[in-house]
Amino acid sequence: MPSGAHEMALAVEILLPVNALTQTQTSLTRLIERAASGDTAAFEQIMIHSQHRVMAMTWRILGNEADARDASQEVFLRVYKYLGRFKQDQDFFAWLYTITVNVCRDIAKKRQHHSDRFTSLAAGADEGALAVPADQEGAEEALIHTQQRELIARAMATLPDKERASIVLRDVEGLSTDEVARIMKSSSTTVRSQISSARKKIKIYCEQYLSRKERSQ
Amino acid sequence: MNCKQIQELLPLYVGRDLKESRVKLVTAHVQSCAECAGAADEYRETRQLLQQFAPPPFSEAVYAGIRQQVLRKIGREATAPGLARLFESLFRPRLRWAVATALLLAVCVSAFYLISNRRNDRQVADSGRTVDRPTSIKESEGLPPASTVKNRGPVQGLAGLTHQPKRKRIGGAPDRSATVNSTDTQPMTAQTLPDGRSEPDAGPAREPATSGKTLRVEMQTADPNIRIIWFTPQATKQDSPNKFSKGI
Repeated sequence: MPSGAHEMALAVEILLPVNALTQTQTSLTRLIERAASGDTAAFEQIMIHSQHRVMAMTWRILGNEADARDASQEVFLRVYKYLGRFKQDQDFFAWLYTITVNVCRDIAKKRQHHSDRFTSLAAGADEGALAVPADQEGAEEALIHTQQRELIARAMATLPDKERASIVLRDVEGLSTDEVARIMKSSSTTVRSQISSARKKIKIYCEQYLSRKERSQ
Repeated sequence: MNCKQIQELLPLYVGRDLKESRVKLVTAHVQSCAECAGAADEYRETRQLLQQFAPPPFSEAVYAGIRQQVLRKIGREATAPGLARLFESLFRPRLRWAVATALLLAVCVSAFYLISNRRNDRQVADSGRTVDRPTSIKESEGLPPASTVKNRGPVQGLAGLTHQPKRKRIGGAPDRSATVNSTDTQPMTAQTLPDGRSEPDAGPAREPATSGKTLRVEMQTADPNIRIIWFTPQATKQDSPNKFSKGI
């Protein structure tokens, strides 16, 4: 392959994602403008564009599909309602996360059974409700993955609302501490403290689960 | 730093949420302490699990259902009857309106309180004057008693004098009688009846003058330093001889 062709191929590889990102941002900005002026078709496009993020985040914070669906609906309704207040220089997804966190907080408050639905840290460890994974050779990776997800979901359920939202934004969504603080309308110090506490609790929960698993074998 | 202090920092250390200066301290400690290094590894594993914490895959039907619900609600709100929307907007709780209403109520209550207090003060001041002053003023000025004046007939000559621009009050009492007894501003146009008694002129000045137990009549003479003040008992329906006083 001539060296010039190789360079061109490299250039295309580097430039395409940037262009695609710019195009996406531009199209999103246009969609937001149209939706803000009452164009529901444009708003539907925005929903399609962001539904996976919203649904995943609401599920991570609320812990089940039914609540996540209700929360996602409410998030999009609020987005439509307050789209006029959104400024074009703002990060749309940060704004969306702020609304999502607020909606999840409201739903968690409304549904008092939320804390009953999940087991507490100590009770969960004693119950052993989570099936101990069978340590068989050739066990499916998907099963292990599902069990890990359940373990983390149970550990997350033991956290207070704010700690859960902070850890989801920081460790799962990968936002910086400052971004999390902005979304949570809190200080970076407070967010660091919440994240530290959440990581400790999750680690302890996982340790307790694994020690139970070892004892049962 | 000891192990306990380091282990407090480990949750933030593994997520790179510590300041550079502390990161160096923790790194140095972890390299030399097996226990803390093990704890750091456990935190890293937990964090990795967290990063893989993905929801179960939701079908496209779930997302489509959410979108339809949202669009339906938006459409319903857009086509909601105008009256219902008006009511909704009127009764929607708004902080600004609540604060404004609370302020308005506070202003109204304080104004009512001040006005009622001022009225009480006036009543107290007037009753004080009624009790203390009459005899001494009349006697000091050498004026005839009220009964004598009553029989003299019309007092129209004095009426115009009530509009003197400035009056000096005897005893230096605050000049508040003008608003209580409107006889100061109303010309006294009492007329003599055929039987020799005075007939009061009808007018708005009558009501405040007869509302108290004692009737107070003030007349300003040509001398700004002299004012004639009359105090007579309040007239009742049976007291026809007091009609003159009642009318002023």
